[in-house]
Amino acid sequence: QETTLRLGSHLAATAPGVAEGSQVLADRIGELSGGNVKVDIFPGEQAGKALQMYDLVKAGAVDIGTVATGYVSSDKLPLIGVLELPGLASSTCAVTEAMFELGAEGGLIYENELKPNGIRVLAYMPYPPYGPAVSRRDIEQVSDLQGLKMRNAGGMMEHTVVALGGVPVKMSAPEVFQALQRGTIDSVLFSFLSVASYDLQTVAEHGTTGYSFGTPGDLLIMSERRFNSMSEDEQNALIEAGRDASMHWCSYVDQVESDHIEEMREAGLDLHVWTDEQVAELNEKTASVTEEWAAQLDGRGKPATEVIEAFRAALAD
Amino acid sequence: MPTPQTDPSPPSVLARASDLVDRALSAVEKGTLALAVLALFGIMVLIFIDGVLRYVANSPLTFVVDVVVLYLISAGFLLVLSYTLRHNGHIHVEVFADMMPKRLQRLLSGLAYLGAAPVVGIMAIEMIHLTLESYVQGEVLIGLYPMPLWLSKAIVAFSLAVLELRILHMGIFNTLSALTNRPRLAIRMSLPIDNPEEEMV
Amino acid sequence: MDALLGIFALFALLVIGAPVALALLMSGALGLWLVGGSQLLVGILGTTAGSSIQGYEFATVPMFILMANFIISSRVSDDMFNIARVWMGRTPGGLAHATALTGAAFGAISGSSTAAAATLSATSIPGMLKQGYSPKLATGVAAISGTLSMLIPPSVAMIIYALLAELSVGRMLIAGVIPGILVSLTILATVAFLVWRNPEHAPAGERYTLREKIVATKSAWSFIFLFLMVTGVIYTGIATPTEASAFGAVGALFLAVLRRTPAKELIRAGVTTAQATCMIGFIIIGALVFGYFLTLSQVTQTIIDTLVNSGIPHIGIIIMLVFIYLILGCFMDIIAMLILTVPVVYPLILQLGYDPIWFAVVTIVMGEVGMVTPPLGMNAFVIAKYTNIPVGQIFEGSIPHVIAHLIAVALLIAFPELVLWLPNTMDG
Ligand code: NA
Ligand code: NA
Repeated sequence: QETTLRLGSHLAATAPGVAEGSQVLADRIGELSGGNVKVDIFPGEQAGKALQMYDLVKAGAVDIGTVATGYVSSDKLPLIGVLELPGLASSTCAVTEAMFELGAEGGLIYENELKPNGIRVLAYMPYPPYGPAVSRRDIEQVSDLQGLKMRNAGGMMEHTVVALGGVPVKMSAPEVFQALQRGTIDSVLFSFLSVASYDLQTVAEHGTTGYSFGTPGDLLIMSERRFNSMSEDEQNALIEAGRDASMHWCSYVDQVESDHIEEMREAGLDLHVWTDEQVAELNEKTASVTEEWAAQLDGRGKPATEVIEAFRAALAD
Repeated sequence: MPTPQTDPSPPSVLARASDLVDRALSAVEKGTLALAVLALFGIMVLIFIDGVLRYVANSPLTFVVDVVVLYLISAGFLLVLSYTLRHNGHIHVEVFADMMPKRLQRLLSGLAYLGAAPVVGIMAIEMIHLTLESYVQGEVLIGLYPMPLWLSKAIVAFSLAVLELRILHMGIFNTLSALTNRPRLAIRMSLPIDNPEEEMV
Repeated sequence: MDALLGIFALFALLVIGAPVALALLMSGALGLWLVGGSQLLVGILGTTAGSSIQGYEFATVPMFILMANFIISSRVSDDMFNIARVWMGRTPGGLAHATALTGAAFGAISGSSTAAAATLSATSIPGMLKQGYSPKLATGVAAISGTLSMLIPPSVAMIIYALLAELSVGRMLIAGVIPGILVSLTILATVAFLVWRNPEHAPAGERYTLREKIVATKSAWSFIFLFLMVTGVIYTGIATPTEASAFGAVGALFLAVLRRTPAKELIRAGVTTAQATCMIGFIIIGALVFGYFLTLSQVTQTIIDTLVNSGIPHIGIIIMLVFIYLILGCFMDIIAMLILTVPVVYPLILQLGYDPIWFAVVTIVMGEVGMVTPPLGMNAFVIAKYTNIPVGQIFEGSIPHVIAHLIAVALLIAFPELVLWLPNTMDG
């Protein structure tokens, strides 16, 4: 008997997150279930706004939902906010592997956050490490970040900007190009993937890489209720397809990211790679951000300190 | 224009009940109107000051976007849902309805409101549920300013709840008015055309 | 079948006069329930209101409405008409031309069409009638000139289109500039043609000296100031549309205070704005719920596939759409028209390979036409109420303008560059 699952996404049908993410998941689910499970993708907020996707999944209105980590890290799934902490990630694939370790059954995040919420993450799709990827002003030293107006996605990244002496600015991603061009902002915390898709390297001549200001991204989630309504074979197909799609995504973006960095450097972007000493200095200055996050969530009864340690350990493997 | 129907008999118990509900709801709606206007002026002032500080003093107000998006826009767009319905401010296609006899018009509008009641009711109840959940969990915005997220949901929930009461009021009494043929019971509303400047779009 | 029931319910509710927002909500709810049962229905109903309008750009809607209301309360349009009247002097049909110019100028600082019509009927029609203009000519030009507010930025209708289709608000607004000038010229040409055919319909006005003309123009600063503060700022990218809208509202408030507008009037502007904003907010929520039903029942895709694969040439589909908008415009308000059609038309336009901003502008011009066509032409009713001239005469006076507008639409369709050139010169 054939089951059809509705997958909702806020991303446009042509966005990499759909083509190299949701679509891969859908195809793999089809293959692994021997054609028994079919996934209908509704991109571009057709099945629900980005903000309501988590609730739609929980209510059973959508079977698989694409949820931006930044939208759930404040309220629904605060431990997912570990992705927004500075100085942890090296590559997207390392982060993805680590998230699977913490988010799979028995893992810290699964047991303390996903399970109590009745939510299961099928696939993790983080972006490559964020940083002041492009900047109007030259950044060679950590002290160059002082007073820099930096667009960021909010959440813990706002704290990171402040910890480094910058001025956090909030604006929607499509507005960044003009803001950068006009000098309304000096720099933007992004991956080079986003820099390329908004063409930002054409309006800012400096940039940095080599230190993660966080790796936000998307989660493909499903409710436990819906998951448990499926046969064991189908469940296994979903789990495996989720892992395959995640690994496909991370190798894809890691590759594209390094290609972009190379192209932009060749095209004349003045790219600074943080030195080991500077990384240590950045870590020192942003240590308070991680501590504050952990303290705040520990206070709410979430094992945030443990999660950071486990996440660090998983990344070190 | 048809001649206005008059109802010489003294107001019945039903009519008095309707008036009572109307007055109570109107009092609440007046409060929501004041809050909504304040929210709109607040949006104007905050965005203006943020912009001026950004361009002139090079120091934006980081909290403005969050305050506007979380609270003021919801308040400005939704708080007066009920007030606007009562004052016939929600656009509708009148041409065909105006061709119908008055009594049929009242019946159909009453039934339409009664049909809308469960829909808006579900919206309100679900939103109240989400608000309480958020409040119990102590959800705050993770960022420089830990703003409570339940308050944002509460504004929407409250707006929908007042709207639901108004829809029930208008649905019940318009239907009764048509069924018992007592125009006095129907909720009288001004036509938007009486105040063209207020249509505004 | 489910899809048809939902759509049928929508039309039934619209015909009996239910508020459009409630009609969309109810029929969308019915459709969602038929498609996916109570789980889908409750899930979507419960979460849509809370998330539908939570975006910074939504602030542009109330801010531009507030700006328009402050401008009305400041009575600055009297000055604008005076300038146009003095400069037109003894030109045949001078006052009618002045009305069109005032409509365009007012449109450049206000986003609301009915507000413009109300203002124009108060400032320009009495003067024309006193000078012996035919009521048809006078009211027709006032009705159509009022609609320029929707095309020339700022425009609330365009912002709603951009928000619904997730287009860039800034580019959308700037795309209205050249078509706005084109349509203004169309109105002027139509007036010139009408006056040439029947000179007795528009007796000549007074002559003014150059000195008088310059003195009258002095008060133009306020208009130029507001225009630069909004459209200038958006075009040059100095500020985002959201910021520009708040600047515009503050500027208009400043102007109103400067012109000694009583505080009571200013508060009234706020109340009016709250109501109009809420009307739009509610209808957006209803449209989203109905839109989810259309998508999840696959009806949008079915309609689009049928049309795209029908073998009808793409331009034929565009012309068909224009015709549909002409008919819809007869029966409904432009906001309702946009809300009901954008969820299907926008993806269709994309799939046909056209630029959505271009077609949005074409749609807005068709919406303008709808404001002056019977039986439900909002601007005609507004003017009828202000002047006590029978609405039938106003509709009659509008007919030449409707025909001229259709020619302008044909030009916009034939030369999309008229729409797209200016926004394409913007950065970003
Ligand atoms: Na305008
Ligand atoms: Na019409």
